[in-house]
Amino acid sequence: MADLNQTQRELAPEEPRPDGQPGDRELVERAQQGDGPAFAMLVERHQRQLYRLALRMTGSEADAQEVLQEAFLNAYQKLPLFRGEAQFSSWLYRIAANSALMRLRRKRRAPDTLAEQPLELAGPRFSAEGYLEPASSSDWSQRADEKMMSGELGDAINKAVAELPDDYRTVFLLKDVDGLSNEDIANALALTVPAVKSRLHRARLALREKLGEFFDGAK
Amino acid sequence: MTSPIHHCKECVDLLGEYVEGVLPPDRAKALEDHLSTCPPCITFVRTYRATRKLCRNALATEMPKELMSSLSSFLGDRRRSKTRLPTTDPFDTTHVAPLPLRGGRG
Repeated sequence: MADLNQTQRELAPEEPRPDGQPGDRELVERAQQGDGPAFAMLVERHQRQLYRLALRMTGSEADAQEVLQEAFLNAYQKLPLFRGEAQFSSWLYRIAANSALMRLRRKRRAPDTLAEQPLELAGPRFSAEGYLEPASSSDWSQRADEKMMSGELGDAINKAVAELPDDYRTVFLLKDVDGLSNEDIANALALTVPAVKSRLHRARLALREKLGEFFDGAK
Repeated sequence: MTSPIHHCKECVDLLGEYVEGVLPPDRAKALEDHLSTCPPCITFVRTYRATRKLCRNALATEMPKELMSSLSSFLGDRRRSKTRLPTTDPFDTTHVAPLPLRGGRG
């Protein structure tokens, strides 16, 4: 994980928020000057996204709660070091992701870095000439709409996502569920943007395979 | 000159950026040209898109209100026991109105 310290630089004006509330940068500056309620607003604004990240990374509501507590406490204590080079949300995500990884490491001796995760991901099969094998071609997309609310499908998705390597799962959730940009994810997880894109694509391919198996089994 | 896509593997490799609409126009055109002649890849694109949609719907989750409340209490307690910054209590909403903080200190 990268150092949480930021360096000074010229910053572009902050975009106004649609809800008319102060932007993150203004709240951070106010909090750095001792405005407690400004920090509380930052917590209120970001706690849901951080909760989703922590819950999906740890797979446990209790762990997610502790990750959130650690992350916001850490952010609170490190606030004087935040210089606004990254977005505050990305900075927070990195702190929370770090906290979640530390927790996972303590629990199951996870590898030391994201890049060292074991990699056994399913994906489409191609012929030697580079054509899709027939097994990759079952079209279950229409049935997906019909089964949108199925509990079994929800279970299958949760299981498939849980089986992804930690870093692939985290990138996928941040992008496709939480809607962060590739740049924000890269910053939060100390990855390059190409690494984010690669993990994201491979995670989607693996999940697509698992969902294909689910729908084939449900015919 | 756009280099054509002959093989499905090349098409699949570009899908991530294609479904997000960030693939360069010449590559998107080449991919769509390939799709127009390759039913297996059309199916692949549909199921790839469906995967994202299904997962987004299934995994969207809300933070429990009780957790928001306990987080607020926890941070307020820690702030009082170990002051650094800010100098005023960030979880004391009694003197500032209106803060959108739910739950408060319980």
